[in-house]
Amino acid sequence: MTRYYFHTSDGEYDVDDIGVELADDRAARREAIRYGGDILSNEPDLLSNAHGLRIDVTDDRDAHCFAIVIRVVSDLITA
Amino acid sequence: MGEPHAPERRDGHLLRILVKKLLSHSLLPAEDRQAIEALPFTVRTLEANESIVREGSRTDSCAILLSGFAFRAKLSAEGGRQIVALKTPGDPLDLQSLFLPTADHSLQALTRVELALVPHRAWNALLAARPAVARAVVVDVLIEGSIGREWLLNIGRRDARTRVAHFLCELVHRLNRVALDRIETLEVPLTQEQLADLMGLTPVHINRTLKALEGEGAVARVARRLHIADLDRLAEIASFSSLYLHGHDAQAG
Repeated sequence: MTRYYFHTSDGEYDVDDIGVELADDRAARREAIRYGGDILSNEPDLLSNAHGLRIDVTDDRDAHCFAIVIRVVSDLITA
Repeated sequence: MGEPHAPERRDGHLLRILVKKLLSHSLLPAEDRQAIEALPFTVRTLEANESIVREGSRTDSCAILLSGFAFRAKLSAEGGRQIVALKTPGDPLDLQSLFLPTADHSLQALTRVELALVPHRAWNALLAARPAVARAVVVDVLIEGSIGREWLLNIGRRDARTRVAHFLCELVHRLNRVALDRIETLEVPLTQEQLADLMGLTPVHINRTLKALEGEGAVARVARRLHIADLDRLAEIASFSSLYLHGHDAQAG
């Protein structure tokens, strides 16, 4: 088991200092996707900022594992 | 469940917390209160996560929660666990088993708990002899049903911040039913993981939610322990109404 930390950026950076124990990177990826889904279902207006929502996942050796980025892109298409 | 060789005790003062709980919603004459305190019971202490009643099992006693916290949980076939009720000190945990002998969910210790196990035969004799006690028992079960409906709304329809705020308000209200002095602030005796399980949120999401509530001054976190800092603020965030808890709502039959 590894402890993974899920840091969010949505205009401001929010450090996760507690984390969750998970089996492996695959489980951490699923957790990050669910977490992003939970945040957005609670705070849908979050994506109205230009940054969107970014979740950076690190492990207990402080290594960066991956990031999930969710943004609204319709402005780019019509621009 | 049960320790066949443990002697039955009649230390009424331990059951006073149950009387206090019942008095928070029902009127009971002095002789009925004394009769409850005179119920025979055996005391059992369990550590966090230990099982109190397993789904599908039958018991011959009803546990009263003397101290600590317990929960009811149901499992899906895939092993997903949902906590469906939190039980606080003074709560009878399993009055249902008097009428429906096979447990349809599991009961587990959330923290270290002290239980008084009251045999069914003693309960049945008391309920047959004393209508006001029988009525208080029904009211207690009805209020638990009302709390369950509020939880369905809370977990199903409220966003994370409102949901957690609502739960914390409920916790304080329920603890106040048996508290010696009125509680306004409180160290919440649950870990963030336990809170996540109760609220149907992931632990990471609970962390984010508590941070938001902390930023509003409603809660404080000291060395990872959660404290209720401003109950009025929490109630405002949750639009909390204690109507569903029916405190002092029931009249004597």
